[in-house]
Amino acid sequence: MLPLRQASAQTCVEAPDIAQNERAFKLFQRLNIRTFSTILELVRAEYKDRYQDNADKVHTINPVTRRLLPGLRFYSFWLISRAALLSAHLGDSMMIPFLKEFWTVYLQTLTLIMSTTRFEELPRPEYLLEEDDEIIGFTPLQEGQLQQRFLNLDGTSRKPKCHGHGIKRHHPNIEMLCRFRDFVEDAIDLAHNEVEIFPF
Amino acid sequence: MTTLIDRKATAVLLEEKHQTTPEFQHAISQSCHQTLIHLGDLSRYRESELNFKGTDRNWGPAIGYYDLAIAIDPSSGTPYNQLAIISKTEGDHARALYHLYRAQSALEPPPTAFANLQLEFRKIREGWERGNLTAATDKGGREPLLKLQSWFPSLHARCFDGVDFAEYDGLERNVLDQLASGLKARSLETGFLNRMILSNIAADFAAGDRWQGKFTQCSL
Repeated sequence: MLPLRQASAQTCVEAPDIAQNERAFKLFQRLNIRTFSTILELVRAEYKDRYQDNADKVHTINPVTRRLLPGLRFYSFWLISRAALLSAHLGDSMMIPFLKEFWTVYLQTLTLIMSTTRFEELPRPEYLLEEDDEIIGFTPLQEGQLQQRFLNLDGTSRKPKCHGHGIKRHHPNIEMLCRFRDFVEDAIDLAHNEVEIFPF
Repeated sequence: MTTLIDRKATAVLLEEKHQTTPEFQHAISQSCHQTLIHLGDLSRYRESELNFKGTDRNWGPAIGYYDLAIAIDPSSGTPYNQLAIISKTEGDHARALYHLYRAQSALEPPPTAFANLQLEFRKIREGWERGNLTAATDKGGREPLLKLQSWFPSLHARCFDGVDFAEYDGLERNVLDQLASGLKARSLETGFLNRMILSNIAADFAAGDRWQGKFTQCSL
């Protein structure tokens, strides 16, 4: 690591290469889209195998899906903040195949989950889920409307952590179903924002 | 009567003594935060100096102090910077990258955040060319994890450069296939997926800022 004195004494002699920076940005956007797609494929496959014909078993979340859901939630937050920007790539040949793949699997997964789960019966945890604790202070997922998700109903104080004193947590399966609900509600938000997705 | 008045006066005085202003509370919090970082540094220096052959270093106390510092002030990126040093010492570039991204993405990043990221990418490129990017200590030898520990940071280094790279598509495909394979087999260590996702997201936002000219590329 550079000591503070050394770093501050550096002289930036190169002008920023705008084309390279633009390409770097697109590559990272593409990596996020493809990673999100990979996770969605896994969730969809697991959900379809276990729950499509056994809706009464949806309250028992299998170990693979348990590991995927917190990450799915991170990416759902990311999509809320980046969806409009992704639309700007719709004319870019580097991005088109991956955007098409992504939106296809996103909508398929959403449809599957909504058709098998009754979310209106689920409680709303009044505490931060474990992965929310992990992203406190992480500015990319705290901007704008995302910040509200971490606040109490009064809109000013942050929700308590799940391990906080006096917090009575819901059953882990219920928390997992709440993560599915958040995913669905994020999609509804996207629809309300009239985000332009890939034209099918 | 006099005794009752004395008791009431004492109670009022005690209550006033324990009231603190928000500014004072903030100063106390910051003092604790800095102290924890220094304690973490001292623990880290001790382990770095005690380098006995065949003995694993115990970073537990240092990591514990840094984690407590994060809990007290999540807006500061400095503890993440220090955690990155530990990961680099262990040769875990994927984890080091995650901590460096977290340092840079904090509300108050350390001044050296971007420069440290550039330095790490340079080390990753050099390690990739030498063929020794996997963690120095083999934690169980789980193949998807070991492959991801070298391929994932290398992929990020390529994206960061923003330069055309003939094997890019293949590298990206390999990373995603190993990820899927590891997730299905449940062979990835706990937390690896979340760190990978947060690294990707942080990189996306940081690259967007660079494109807008918020960071200037420096020659190192």
